[in-house]
Amino acid sequence: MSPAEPAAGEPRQIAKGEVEVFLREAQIVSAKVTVVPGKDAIARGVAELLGEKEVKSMLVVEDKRLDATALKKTAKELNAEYISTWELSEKEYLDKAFACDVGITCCDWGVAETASVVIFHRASAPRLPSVSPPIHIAILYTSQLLKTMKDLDLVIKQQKHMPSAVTIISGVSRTADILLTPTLGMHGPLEVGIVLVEGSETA
Amino acid sequence: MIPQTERYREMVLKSLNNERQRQLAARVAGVFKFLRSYALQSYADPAQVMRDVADIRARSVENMSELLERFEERATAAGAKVYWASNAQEANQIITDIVTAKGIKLAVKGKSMVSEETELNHFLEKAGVEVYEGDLGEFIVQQLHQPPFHIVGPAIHLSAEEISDLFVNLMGIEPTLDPVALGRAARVYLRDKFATAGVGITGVNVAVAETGSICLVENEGNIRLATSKPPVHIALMSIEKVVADVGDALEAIGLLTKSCTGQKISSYVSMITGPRKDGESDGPDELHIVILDNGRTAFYQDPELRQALRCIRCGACLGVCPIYTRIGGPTYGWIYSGPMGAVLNPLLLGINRSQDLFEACTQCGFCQEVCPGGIKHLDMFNRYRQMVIHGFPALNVKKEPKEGTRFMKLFAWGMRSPWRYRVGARLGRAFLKKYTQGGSIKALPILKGWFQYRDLPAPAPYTFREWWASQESQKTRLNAGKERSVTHGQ
Repeated sequence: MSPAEPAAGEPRQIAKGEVEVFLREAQIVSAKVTVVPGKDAIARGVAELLGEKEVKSMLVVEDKRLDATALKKTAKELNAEYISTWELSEKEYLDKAFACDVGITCCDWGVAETASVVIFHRASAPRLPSVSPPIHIAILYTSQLLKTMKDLDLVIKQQKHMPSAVTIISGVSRTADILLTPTLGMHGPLEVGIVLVEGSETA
Repeated sequence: MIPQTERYREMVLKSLNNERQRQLAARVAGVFKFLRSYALQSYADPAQVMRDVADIRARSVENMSELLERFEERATAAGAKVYWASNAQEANQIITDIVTAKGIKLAVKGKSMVSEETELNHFLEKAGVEVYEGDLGEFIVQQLHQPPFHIVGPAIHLSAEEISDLFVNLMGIEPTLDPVALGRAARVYLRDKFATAGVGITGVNVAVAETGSICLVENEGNIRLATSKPPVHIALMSIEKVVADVGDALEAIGLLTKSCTGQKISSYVSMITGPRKDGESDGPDELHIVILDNGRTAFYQDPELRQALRCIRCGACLGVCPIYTRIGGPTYGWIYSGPMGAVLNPLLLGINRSQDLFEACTQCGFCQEVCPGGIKHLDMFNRYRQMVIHGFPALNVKKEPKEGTRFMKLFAWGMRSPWRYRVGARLGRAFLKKYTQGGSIKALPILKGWFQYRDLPAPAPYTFREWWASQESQKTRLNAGKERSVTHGQ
């Protein structure tokens, strides 16, 4: 038992941090991470992750935790169509979710020990943008970083109502179903990028 | 898959002659075994986690009825509809009724062992519903109408040529032997199915009583698509999947993925609580959860047998089993193979018809060393053997006379007293010598089954006791003659 471990019966504190562990584990699960200094730099981080890739359309789940104006500019520079999920009817949204090249979402939590990003799906956080496009870019703040899955359990316990879905995403979709050959990218994203924003999402 | 565990002996012989299958079974098992042991090192104290999860599974099974009631209550409160099915037929009927009542013609499925158990696809197809397995391996074996080869890698026995041929016919792609290209082809082909299916059907890895949630573990993303896009989600689970709370669920899932594919955690873990809520733009409008018994409560009444329900279907026992690694999955005659199959198939299908599965066990015990559920496989197998020998009406186990039973009784009686042992050994040797031919014994009037596949070496010219006695008497002679003793090693 490590010294940080509480004695039996004592409530466990939610442990945060461990950026280095997150970065190391992200490599193992083939997620590309770029660290940016603040909310203003998120769009730059997205551009960096997309690099020279040919991106025709970008489906963005707009959220106060990301700078939409700057992202729109990035989309323009990449010659990609910027689509905000909130400007679409449900049918249009469902069609676009299967047709766009990149899905950009914010996250609720990260877990360092597994390089996971965790999304609590609700009206403001739909499910498909993080799974149906070939590329998923997740925006995660260092203040959202938990140490272990046990800490995630404590966070979930604090929810008054469970979201309709909680998704723990750890790297790209993958399979080894043919000849045991590891293949990155199966039905979910072929590539996952994480913009790790230094600071707090509530700042 | 039609159960045929009674054909185990015959299929073992066939599998042993199938060089390719033997090599594959050993290779696949070796890879998974290695990945598991590597992944476990990520725990500070792997043995403690094994104990913790075994404890979670034991507690969950002991409190199963209360946990299931709470799960039903909470899941219903979250907006899901919960159904109880006592057998496979009932579960299939409930699911087919939901699907056909809505006029749904296309279903996408996540890999689920329980749906294999009930043969759900077959049932749905008969009702005119087109079903596509979403998991790549499961999709391939489904299209080839083959049973899954391995619980984690259903199509791992197929060559790239075979899969390429299938995809060329099905999708019109150019032939390719590149596994990545084949995977991409399946992605493209199935995408449209995910986008247009009327229902997503999945299993359940863990159900959480406290929150009424179901947890789904996967790597490919097919389950996420199947539970995000189609307007209806149907989840089929067996009764033992329920645990008390999210903490138990996450801890068990952590060990499940490490034991299964050697990943710290799989690419996706989805924790689903009810259908989508107001204002959500995706996720199903309806969530139906079908809870299946299929014979489990019958053996649950027995405190020793119920431990079979601790199994979390990780497949770690397959990788370490000296039997499984030589014969492969299909030999077991049903969907559960390896030690997992030798524990579950007898209880779910009938002990008499499945007895060869546990009779084949060498009692090495590796399976119970790696089992996250803490199942004591060897105790289970011995119990099954006793049930067959003495009969067990509570589970309809018929008493079957076993060749050698009388001999074993006599042997046990003889071993219980030193003089009976001595007399027995003398008589036994005399008896064996009578049947010795050219240094070995090829047959005896008893234990005929044993001699079917092996010879017995001829008894040694003297017994250990005789040798010891001769040594002792020699020593006495030497000492009596006061001859110089020879010491060694100086």
